[in-house]
Amino acid sequence: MKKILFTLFLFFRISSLSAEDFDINTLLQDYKKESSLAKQTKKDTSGLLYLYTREMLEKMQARTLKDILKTLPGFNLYRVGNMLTITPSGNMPFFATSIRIFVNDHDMTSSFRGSSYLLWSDVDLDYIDHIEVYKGTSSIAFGSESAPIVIKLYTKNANREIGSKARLLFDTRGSLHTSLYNAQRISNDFAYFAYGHIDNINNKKYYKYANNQSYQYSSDKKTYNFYANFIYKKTTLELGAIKSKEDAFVGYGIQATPEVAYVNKEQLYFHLTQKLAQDFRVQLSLDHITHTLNTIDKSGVFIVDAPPTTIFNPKNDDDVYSITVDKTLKSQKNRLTVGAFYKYKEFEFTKYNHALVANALYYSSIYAEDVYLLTENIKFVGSLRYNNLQYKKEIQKEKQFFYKTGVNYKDRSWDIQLLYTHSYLTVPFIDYYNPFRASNVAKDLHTPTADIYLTSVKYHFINKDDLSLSIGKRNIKDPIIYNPQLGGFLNLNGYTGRYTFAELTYLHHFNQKNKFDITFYDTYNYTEKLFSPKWGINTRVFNSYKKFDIYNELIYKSSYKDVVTQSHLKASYDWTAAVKYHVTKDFSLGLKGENILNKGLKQAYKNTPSSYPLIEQKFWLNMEYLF
Amino acid sequence: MKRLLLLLLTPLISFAYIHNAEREICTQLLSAIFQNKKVIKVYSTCPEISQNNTTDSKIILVDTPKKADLIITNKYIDIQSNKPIFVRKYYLLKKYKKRAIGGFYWQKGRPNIIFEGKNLKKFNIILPDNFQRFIEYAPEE
Repeated sequence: MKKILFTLFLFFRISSLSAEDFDINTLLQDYKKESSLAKQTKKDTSGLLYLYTREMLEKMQARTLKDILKTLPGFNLYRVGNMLTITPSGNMPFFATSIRIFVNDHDMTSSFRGSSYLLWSDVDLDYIDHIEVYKGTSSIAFGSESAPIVIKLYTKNANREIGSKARLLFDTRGSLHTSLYNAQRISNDFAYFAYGHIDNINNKKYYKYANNQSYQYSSDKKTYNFYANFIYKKTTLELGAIKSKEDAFVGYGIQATPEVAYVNKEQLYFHLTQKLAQDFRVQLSLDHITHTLNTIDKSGVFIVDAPPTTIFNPKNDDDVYSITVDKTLKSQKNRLTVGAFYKYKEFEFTKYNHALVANALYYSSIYAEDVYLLTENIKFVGSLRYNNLQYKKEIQKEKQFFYKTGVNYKDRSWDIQLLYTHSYLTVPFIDYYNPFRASNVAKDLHTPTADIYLTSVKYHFINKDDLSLSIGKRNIKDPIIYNPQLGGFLNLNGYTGRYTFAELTYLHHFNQKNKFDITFYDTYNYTEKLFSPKWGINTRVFNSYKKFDIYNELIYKSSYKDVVTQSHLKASYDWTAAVKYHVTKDFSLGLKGENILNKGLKQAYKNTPSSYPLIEQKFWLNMEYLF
Repeated sequence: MKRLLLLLLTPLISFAYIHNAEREICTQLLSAIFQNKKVIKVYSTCPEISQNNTTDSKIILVDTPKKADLIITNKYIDIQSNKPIFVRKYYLLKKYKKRAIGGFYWQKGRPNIIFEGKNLKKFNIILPDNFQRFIEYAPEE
């Protein structure tokens, strides 16, 4: 009897494999999954990685990068002036050069601002295949300037997208988001991918009543985005142009009573990658970036060394030219990457008082990273980088020496990573040439150093579930802060800003198409001062049922007392849900609700009547058509 | 004990297979095209199809198109043979429109399989029932 039962069991086990797993449709789905581009690009030894695969982005019905940033554990969305950025939970906003956003290998950073938030933190994602966010990295592996946080957006691949796709979304406030792309392979050697996007986003307006007048807080925006890549043999040419006009919400006035408040932003870029021999690349790129702020506020914008100004309309024009070469040498035990870049960065900045300042940076860097396989399970990683920064005038030249060391143990059950990075947070031009000063350059500023320690332990259960714990610590020596009373940006010499975080994540796969994860995180900034919620819980559920894709996300953030405004902000619950119905293989209809409970994260501003949500309560209708 | 080992190994077998879905698809396609052949001779320009990684022993790689029952290609080449062609890139269906019996390629962001009905007839190829849904007929020009 036992034998019969056993034989029957074995038969059903094997027949279930034959009937289900070996079905050609299942095979095609498996093939799609196993050949995901994310598997080719992710760098396991470069820091704590948060990966958003194409499948996840599609189920999430992700529209812009903001949809991703708000789900990152240990970060909070934060509006600085009119820039949407992320800030480490509880802590003061990141130093501008702490985060870099890349589209493929192109660094989007503005030379004047030292960041790319202004244009890229809310960029549309319809041309993006997958997203990698690295925390605690020195970015040596990415071949560009260093930053502890690196956000890599990888565009869709022309070879895989052959055909066209149109996407159209409307929301309950009359917003429109539309995009179209086309990809073709023309011959053995030539393929292209071209993408265009337009949006007109309306958000809820808020009002302040003062001086018998009503002042409107608006965050509406209009964006035009174009991207194309052309692949000819071993040459890839990328072209991009993005233009946006965005309302500047509460503006910059002392009493937050804006009469006019918007910013025009524009970036044009070109990136050429030439593979010369095996694993040897040369990259050339150039950027032109313009930001123009237009604000009028009769209460005046505070100027550090002059009376307040009612008209505040600074403008910066940036140009960045760069050449990068790198080569990867592989042997049985080693993977050594060596590289160098040279960048020329210049800017012209027109201050609110029409004073024109300009400067340029000659930036050269050489770097090397070696991954050494000690055994099949253990690998060591070591990186070195030497930077030489020379300014055209006024600012002293600087030399920086980075290093990173780490060890990774990986087997079927365990994935353990220890990393230590010593890096620098290069001072951006905006800190030297403070827009809120009438004159003078802050020549005394010097570059803070950052020491980052990271430990991550992941356990893979036999049923493919994962349990992971990550703990990190970051020490920033001589951090730069903004203190208007003391003249603007200044180093806190001799002070070390310390910050610790811990994250516990459990990932459960119901099956190949259905999964759920939950992350609990907490942070400590070694002071009593909180700039945003310090801890939280993120939960995501990805489901597929027949022709439906369903996504749910609940983000809880703790209550806190904001040190800037002294406001008490309640704990927040941001529930996002998305349902997509695949009418055919090529046409889908979706519904998405953002901040459905209207209890999502809020931010307080000085001299405003209330605190305001960073994600509006909205409902979107989403249509996607492939042809 | 042996039974227990077999039970434990069954999911491992399926796991190993999952990581080779592309190879498995290619093998299944060849078996479907040549249902009754004991030996299938293939000329391939694709690195993923080589003698070392076919899972089916009846598939033999040959070094010239003339010796082959089927030519599998991922690039446009001047093929001096009248054998049926199976393509690994979409644009090659048009390039070899008179001889391409089908393709397995990426299009619209996903892998696709297609068979050209007219060319299947031309080469007297009959597909099994579970592959009939992949047959399409190109419009007359």
